[in-house]
Amino acid sequence: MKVGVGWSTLPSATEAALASVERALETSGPPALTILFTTDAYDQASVLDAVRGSIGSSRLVGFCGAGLLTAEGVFRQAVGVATLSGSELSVRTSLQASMASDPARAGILSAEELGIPGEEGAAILVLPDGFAPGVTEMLRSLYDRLGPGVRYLGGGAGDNLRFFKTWQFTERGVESGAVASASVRGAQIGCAIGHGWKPKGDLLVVTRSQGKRILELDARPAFEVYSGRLGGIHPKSFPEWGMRYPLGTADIRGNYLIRDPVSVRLDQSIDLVTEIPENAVAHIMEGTVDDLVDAASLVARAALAQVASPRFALVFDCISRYLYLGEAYARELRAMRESFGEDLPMLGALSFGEIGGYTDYPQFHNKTLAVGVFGSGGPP
Amino acid sequence: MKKSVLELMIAELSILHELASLAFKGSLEDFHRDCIDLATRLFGARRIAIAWEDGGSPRIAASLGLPPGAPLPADSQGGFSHRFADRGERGVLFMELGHPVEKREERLYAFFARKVEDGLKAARGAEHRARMEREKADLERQVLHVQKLESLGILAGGIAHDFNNLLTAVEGNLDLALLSLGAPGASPAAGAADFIRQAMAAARRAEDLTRQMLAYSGKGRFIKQWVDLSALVEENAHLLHASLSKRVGLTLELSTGLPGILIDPGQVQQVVMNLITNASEAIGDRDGRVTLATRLVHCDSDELQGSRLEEKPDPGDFIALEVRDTGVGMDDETVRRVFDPFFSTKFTGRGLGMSAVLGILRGHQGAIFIESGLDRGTTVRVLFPVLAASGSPAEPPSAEPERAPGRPGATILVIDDEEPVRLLCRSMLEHSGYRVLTAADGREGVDLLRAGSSRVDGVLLDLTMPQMDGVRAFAELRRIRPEVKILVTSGYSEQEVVRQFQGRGHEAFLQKPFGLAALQAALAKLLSA
Repeated sequence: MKVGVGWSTLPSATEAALASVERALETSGPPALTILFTTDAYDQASVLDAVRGSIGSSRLVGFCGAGLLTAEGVFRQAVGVATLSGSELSVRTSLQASMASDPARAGILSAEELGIPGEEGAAILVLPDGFAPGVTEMLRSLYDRLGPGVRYLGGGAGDNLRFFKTWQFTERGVESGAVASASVRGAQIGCAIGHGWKPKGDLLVVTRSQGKRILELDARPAFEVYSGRLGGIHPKSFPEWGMRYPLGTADIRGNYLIRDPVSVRLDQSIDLVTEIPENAVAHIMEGTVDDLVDAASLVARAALAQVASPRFALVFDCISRYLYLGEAYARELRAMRESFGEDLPMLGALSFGEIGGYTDYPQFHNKTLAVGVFGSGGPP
Repeated sequence: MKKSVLELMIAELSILHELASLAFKGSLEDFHRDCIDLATRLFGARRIAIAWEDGGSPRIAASLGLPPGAPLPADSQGGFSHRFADRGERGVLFMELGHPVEKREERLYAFFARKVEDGLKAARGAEHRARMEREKADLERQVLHVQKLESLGILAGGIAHDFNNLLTAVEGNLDLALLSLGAPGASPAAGAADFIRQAMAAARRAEDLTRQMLAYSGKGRFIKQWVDLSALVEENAHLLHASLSKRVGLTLELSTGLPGILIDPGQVQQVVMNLITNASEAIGDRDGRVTLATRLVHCDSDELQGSRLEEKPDPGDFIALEVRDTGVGMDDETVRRVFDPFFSTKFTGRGLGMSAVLGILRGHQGAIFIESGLDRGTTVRVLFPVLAASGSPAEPPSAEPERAPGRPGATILVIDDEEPVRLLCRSMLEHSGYRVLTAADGREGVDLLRAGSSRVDGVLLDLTMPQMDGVRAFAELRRIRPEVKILVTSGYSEQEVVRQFQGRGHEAFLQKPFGLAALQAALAKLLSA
């Protein structure tokens, strides 16, 4: 397997796309899979058209994120392309516009296009609209059809914090509010996920929730309880506090599924980026810069350790981590780079939710880092 | 990424807390979903299945990550399974974890499994109860159907019995009248007249019976007017006293100043008499008391659900008429059947008593409640709605038809499929000086009018006939001769006739049975209109 990576920050959609894809193709040659990341300042159809014009019959999957992650840093306006070639690679793609209206059906249709039920060894890249309410449901129906024999990795599309519209791509076209996905066979793929957040204080019971909205914690208004646990905060400063102190629910091995609080309403309910079930038991989480950076390093190493001959690292890192770490985000990126090794090509996106699992079951995480390392030689 | 013991303990505490809330909450589908959500989110289960084994291969009720035909997760490495029995079936929870179960985790899996088992048993219990309820309801419907058939049988038998008695009296007296008229040397006029009077009396009792039957059906003839119910009861107090046994006292608790209600006074009197008579008979030969009370009450829809009429009136104000007795009371079975036609606890049945009461109340959009228990006496409460546009009590109309001179020489076409009725009408009309044409059904009547239309001054038209019924014949007759006068007759009430004509208005109606005077008066009024 050969992998090429290219990116461009040129302001023109077509020029940025062409510069990126041509640079990637220089290394990979004609690809079997093209991964495309954009940011929302570009005309998305123009970017896709330019890339499609250069990749021949390659399958393509991609989305628009809040920023592009490269070996040289983070770019809030850029086009990035990774091309993977090799006769051993077999790729299928799916683009389901029904994600917003019927996420479970979108998962089923994706599974039908991507693979064979019960198949072993393939990797599934899943790129849904990160704002859509039913990502968890879509993932469940996708998993129900394809099972635990394949690896799941991905991230939610976004629009650079405007929270207006997201875009997803395959070689067939561009959609908004959809889920784009690809199944990749013929490569070794190691996946890992982690975040570095730790529980703080006593547990909280989500006594009343509706989708992404928590109405009550411990049978009291959600914000009142949340604020009380943090010593009293003003609703206007809630987004900043939410970024520093997310919620997390534990699994049996002590891993936490993070939920990112983004706003508080007049009725003291709290809106999250992703849904949380009623009766879930949560903790307020906290994490230092060191905790998060260390986690990034561990995640990168865990993914890398699963692959004998690594060729390419694909990263989905939450926009919220980038905002929380600020300038220290460079440390997180450097920690990943050092873990992968300087020579391993990498490309990533700042995402709105990350897809992966502590076990084989994939979940939709917040404030988390999901990494996939592609290697030669077929599944381990 | 290894966790500390403290981190694992905090996680376990959270999980225990969350598992404690897992329960069946009314939807099996939601419960399955909750189980799968917890198994994946808390335990990272790769596959999960909830299945039932009833002898053959497992029947999977819910699963995740299990393609059709795949082996159950317990067959794979790193699995956890829990089996239990419920109502003759074996339930199984399978989880494939993808890693060996650690000792410290076992109690969490066991707790989860127990919660799943409890929830599934609760769900099946609820389903079982719901099925039992459905079966009970089906059974009750069947019993009700059988009871209705039984009621119909009793009704038919009762009608046949009463009518046969009355017809015996009619036929026998008429035979005797004929004999007396033909007997040589007898004084025919005097003897025949007595027998005919006896026959007439029997016929009028038959007429009463048909009126009761119409009341039972709710299709009786109601002549409604604004009435003060207390005043109506008071006016009939002497009759009420007379209908009680001598050892039974009557107490009247009548509210004054009640709003007027729109009722048929005659029908409501029948209701009062029936209730009072039943109350008295419930006391029997003992000393006892019957109390009759009237008052204004307000009832909401919940209270009205208790009415024994299927059609419940709208909530609002009602005038209540309550009859309480200190009699023997009734058991539940008797209370349930008390409104069945011809049902009686007494050997000598009173025909349609309480079922006629039901019909009258139905015709007044009222309600009826009955409370009774053995040795506790009985209270029957009937409600009549107080209408918004309540009027003043009025004088009842005269029951006697006016005598009218008629139009001797006029030609009347009688259309009736019942030959005795047709012949009787011919005789009565000829006796009154009319010329008469007769037809045995609507079609023949229409043909007669068409053939000699100019000779016909009026039509006596029955409603229910073969070939062409009264409604269609009416339209045809009017089409041929728009100005022809038509008097519709029927054994049904005028309200029923109006309903059948559906606004294609008839101009005059004569209720069957009718006598000579009523026929003469109706025809005179029709022809002079």
